[in-house]
Amino acid sequence: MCRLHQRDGTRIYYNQYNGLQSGGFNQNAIFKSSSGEIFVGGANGFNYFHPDSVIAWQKQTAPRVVLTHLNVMNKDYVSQDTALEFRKAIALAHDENDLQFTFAALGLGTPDNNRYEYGIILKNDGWFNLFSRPDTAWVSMSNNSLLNLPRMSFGDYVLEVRASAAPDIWSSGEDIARLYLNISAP
Amino acid sequence: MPLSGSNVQTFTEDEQKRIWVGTQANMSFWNRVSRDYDTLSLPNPQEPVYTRGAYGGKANIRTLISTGTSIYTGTLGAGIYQIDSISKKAEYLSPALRNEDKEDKLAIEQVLRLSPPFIVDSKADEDGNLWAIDWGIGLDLLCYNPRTQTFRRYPIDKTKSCFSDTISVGGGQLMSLAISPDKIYVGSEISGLYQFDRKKLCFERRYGYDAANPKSISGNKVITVFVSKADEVWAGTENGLNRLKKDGTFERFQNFPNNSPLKKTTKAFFG
Repeated sequence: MCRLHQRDGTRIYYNQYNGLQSGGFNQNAIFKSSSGEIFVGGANGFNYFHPDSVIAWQKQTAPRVVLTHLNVMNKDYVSQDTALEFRKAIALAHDENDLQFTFAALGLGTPDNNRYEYGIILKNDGWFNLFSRPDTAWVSMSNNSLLNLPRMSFGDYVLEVRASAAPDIWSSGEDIARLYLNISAP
Repeated sequence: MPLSGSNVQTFTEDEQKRIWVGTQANMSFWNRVSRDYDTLSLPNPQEPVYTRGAYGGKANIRTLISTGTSIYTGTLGAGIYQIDSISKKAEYLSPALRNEDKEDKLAIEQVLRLSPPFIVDSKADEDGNLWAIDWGIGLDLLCYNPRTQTFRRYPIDKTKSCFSDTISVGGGQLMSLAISPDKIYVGSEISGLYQFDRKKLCFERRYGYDAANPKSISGNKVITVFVSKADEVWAGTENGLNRLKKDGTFERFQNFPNNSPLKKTTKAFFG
């Protein structure tokens, strides 16, 4: 179900993870009562709500993404000096290049609604350009918070992961998980 | 008592502000205070040969219309029922037995021997008349007058319509219905949108998709049709939303960009 704001065209989406009876509705099974409640029906019953009572849902924000687990060459990576979530950079040897990351999207919504995307930025002329790259540089991870990067070549990278709990609303700025990776040359 | 079935098809509200819920299995009405349901069983239809048992005994309710103290229930396979919302007494309204046209009464009986009435959409007008379209009786509009307690049938038929262009009549089943002060709009499965004149009491026009005309309706499968409070006619097809303009042309609205989970098919309106 989509709530469309006519003034600015913004849209808010709801599905079964927000409490709707299922992901689909029957044709014409929508009704507005005299008191303004909206009833919608589908294969698993019906929902009703008053539009004024869902104001709290209007400000849907994107979740903050954090790195919760890192596996290097099939072994847990132990972050010595700080919790993994707060690490900004990790340096690895050339033979530590099979990596598996686990991220988490920190939000109040249902985890099943979360979608993840990652991007890898290479150093260019000694600089990482984090701010002026096209949206198409993001690679979908769907609902999977696991990211496998096998056989990484040596070099310097920035790995970024963003998440969305609703279409078109993605984490940005400090809410993106961002990790500087250095894999040393052999 | 639980809801009469999980597959919810339609809703309405009676004068006591109770919400009536039509499901594939039966009909319930919901008490907002106790948050409980009561289920109403519908009697068997009285068509000449048809019995509901042949269809698994399910009411299969598709439409609910509230007007005054009456609730009209359109079913897929068992015609129309009138329910007194106070006494909860349900009565089957046979379009054959209650037909005010003697010739048509016989014609409908013939049809009903082959197929029961499948009511797919219904609406009430400002006078309390019930208008319905069905898949069993034919390509036509049914009207039930509660004052005379009779039906009348208005076919989309070259010989019985006021089409200026008789080849305009198409085929296929009817899908959707909306009432404006002067017209009734009927959406069909394969032949676009039909316009019925409420004064002349006949179909007068068909709006069909024309690939060469961007001002034609965007598709011939008119899934839903709606008349707004401003008397604007909106039609939903598999190719998006259409607004009928006063000059008989359409303004088309397509779906959101590709990143939207919304599809371009428009399935229902309300307002």
